[in-house]
Amino acid sequence: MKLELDGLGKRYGDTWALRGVDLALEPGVVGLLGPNGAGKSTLMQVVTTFTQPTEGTVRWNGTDVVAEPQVMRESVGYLPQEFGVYPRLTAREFLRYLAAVRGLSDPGDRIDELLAIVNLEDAAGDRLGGFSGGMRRRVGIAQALLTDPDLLIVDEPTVGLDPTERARFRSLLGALATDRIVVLSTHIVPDVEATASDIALLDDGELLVHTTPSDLLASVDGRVWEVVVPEAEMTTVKRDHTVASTTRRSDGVHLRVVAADRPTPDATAVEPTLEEAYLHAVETDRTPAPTEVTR
Amino acid sequence: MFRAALAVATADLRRRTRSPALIVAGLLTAYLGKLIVVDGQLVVAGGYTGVGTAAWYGATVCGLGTTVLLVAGFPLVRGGVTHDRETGVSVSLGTAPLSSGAYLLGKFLSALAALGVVTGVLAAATTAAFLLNGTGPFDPVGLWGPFLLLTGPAVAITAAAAVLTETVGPLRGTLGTAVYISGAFALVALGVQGSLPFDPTGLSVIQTSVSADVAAQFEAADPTGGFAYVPAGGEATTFRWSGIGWTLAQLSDRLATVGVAVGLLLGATVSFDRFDPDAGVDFPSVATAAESPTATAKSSDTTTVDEAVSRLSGAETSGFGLVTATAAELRMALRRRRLWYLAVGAVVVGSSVAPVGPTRSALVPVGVLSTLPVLSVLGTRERREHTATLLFTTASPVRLLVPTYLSGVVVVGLVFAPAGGRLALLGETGAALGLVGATLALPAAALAVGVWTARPRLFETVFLLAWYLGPVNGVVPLDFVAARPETVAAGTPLAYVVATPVLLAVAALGRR
Repeated sequence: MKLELDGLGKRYGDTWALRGVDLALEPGVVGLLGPNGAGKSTLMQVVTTFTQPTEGTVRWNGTDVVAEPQVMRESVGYLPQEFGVYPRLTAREFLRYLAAVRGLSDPGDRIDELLAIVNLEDAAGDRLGGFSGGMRRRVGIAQALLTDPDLLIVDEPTVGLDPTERARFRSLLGALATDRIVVLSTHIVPDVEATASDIALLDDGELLVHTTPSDLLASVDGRVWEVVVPEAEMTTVKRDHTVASTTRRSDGVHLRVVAADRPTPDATAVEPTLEEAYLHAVETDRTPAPTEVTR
Repeated sequence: MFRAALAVATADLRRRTRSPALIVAGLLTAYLGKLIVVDGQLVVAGGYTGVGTAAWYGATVCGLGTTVLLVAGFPLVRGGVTHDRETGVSVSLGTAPLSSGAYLLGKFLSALAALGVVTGVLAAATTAAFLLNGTGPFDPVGLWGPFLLLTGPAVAITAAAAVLTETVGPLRGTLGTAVYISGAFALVALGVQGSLPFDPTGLSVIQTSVSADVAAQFEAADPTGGFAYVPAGGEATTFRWSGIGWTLAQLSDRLATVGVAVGLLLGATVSFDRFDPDAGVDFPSVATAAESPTATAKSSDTTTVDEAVSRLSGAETSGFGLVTATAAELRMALRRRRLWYLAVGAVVVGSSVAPVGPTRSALVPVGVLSTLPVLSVLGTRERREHTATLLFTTASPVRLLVPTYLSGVVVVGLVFAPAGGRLALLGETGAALGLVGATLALPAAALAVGVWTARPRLFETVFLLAWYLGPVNGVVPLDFVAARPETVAAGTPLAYVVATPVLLAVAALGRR
């Protein structure tokens, strides 16, 4: 199975939400990373045929899904970032309804098993109107898996989940990724770190890089520093450098700084994290290239 | 307070101006003005029409326009509070240091301004018509005064009622629209008859003034002859009307109308719950224990996930599950409608035992009203409940219309079944066909409107107006339940049957 995006672009009015995206995906988890407004949700909406691209093509196993959306609809499971449920139906009834419109025959056992996987078996008969945000999200995860999709696209799947459920979902993604393509879009970089075999980094509607987590980490090797400064000097460091994290301790404020050169004489090089590699990639993309002077 | 109210009003008005509804309403209103003074004429006192002066143009258009805006302006401006509730802005507003009074005043001012825009368009269209076709000097007071003093207070009632119905739980939906529109019709009729201490539309002000001038100029005139809007060019004796000579009593009447609007707004501040889902005026809750308070689910360990995934049952597909999907649509439509079941039960039992004549002319027209809450949401649910992304990415959006349509057919069919069965057994095939036509066409019409507008209000308004004019008052093309024999003779039921596939095609087009 293969998902190919070729020159994909989507314009809303005069604004390009997505432009010139080329991407080829094979089974495994690809972590889709990018800041707010990078175009991640638009990309997923185009791939799932919810909206049509302005330019470019989406091919699923060689078939152009813009021309034949049903081919994608039969293969995809999609958990949108924002979605609603029908409050008057129970969780089980809602999933049965979705199974029916997706053409599943005899889905009863699978629905019960999925409700158990997302830890909602005890609430299966309760109406969705009384579900918390996290519980609705888990119903969303279950519905995305109803048809045993070859392509699973999940947009911010762990938002609203407690730490236990988040860990459980990470395990679920890992188990699912063995024989399908999973696209995981999130702001939570540790979720990607825990599950992704590939990373696609978007910013301002463009694909910055499609690589592996280890290669992305390698790109920032030797560029992450720990700086310990008094509280009063913290603002200066933050103004001059990209600061990935801040921790207050008795000896001062410990800052992890992403910088090409040693930010202060006392700074010590440390092992980079994926989050720092992500920050570095986005900041590099946003920093204007130096102007060349012609003599 | 006024500063805050103005901020709320400005934001809400911006939202309204970014929707095509206001533009469409303005265009329709301008066309209405043309119909009244260019394509038609007002005949009073049994055969007299005014010379086309500025005052005559203003009063003629204003009289009918005010009535239309009082009734049909409601669905146009309703929804300001609901919009905040649905978009989640309510959480910020409910916790902000903004008084309920200022918030509701802002919503009222926004609704009033929107209706003011439409009134302004009507006045502008009337002005253009006068400049092109009128007689005599341009008289701004005579031309525009009626819009300011008659239409203005009337639409203030509409705006205040729109806010009030959004703050009273049971009136937030279809019931609120039905209550308002029937109440508005009653207000217009009673006001003109003088049965109320005030006249909401001010039609009686025009009527009194015009009748007095006709009587003064023509002894044979019948001052009780009433008003009639007829096509232009008909035979009528012209008279010169001097315009409304505003008296203190007439101005007091308009002030009383504004007072009613203020009263409605004060009522809204009392019933407004500041978006607290557990407060405000509402029918007794029938929520299950699982719905309130929030249901909970226990947590379990994460070690079994791999195993559970490996043991998952297969997902065999075998085509669209039409029966299951239709059953789910019916569940969504009919759950938590205890009063609905009582009303439909009464109609079904009544239609089964009452004489056929009253069943057809009274029970069926009344019974069809019970289908409105179910029909008006057809085609809107996916957008209103934000399930479109779940549904339309994994199933054909057009195919999803089928169970939605069928659920509407089942509900309407259930209401009509006893009456239809009895009519068919008695050989009244035309009347029975009328009910079949309604059963097929009403859900199709609701679906077409719902898919295109994503809101139930337009269908509710059109349905109620058509119901009032057709089944109740015998306007044959709108008698969609064939309550009268002449409807069957005119072939109206067949027209509704034929319209069904067209309406379904319109719905499908909207879903593509």
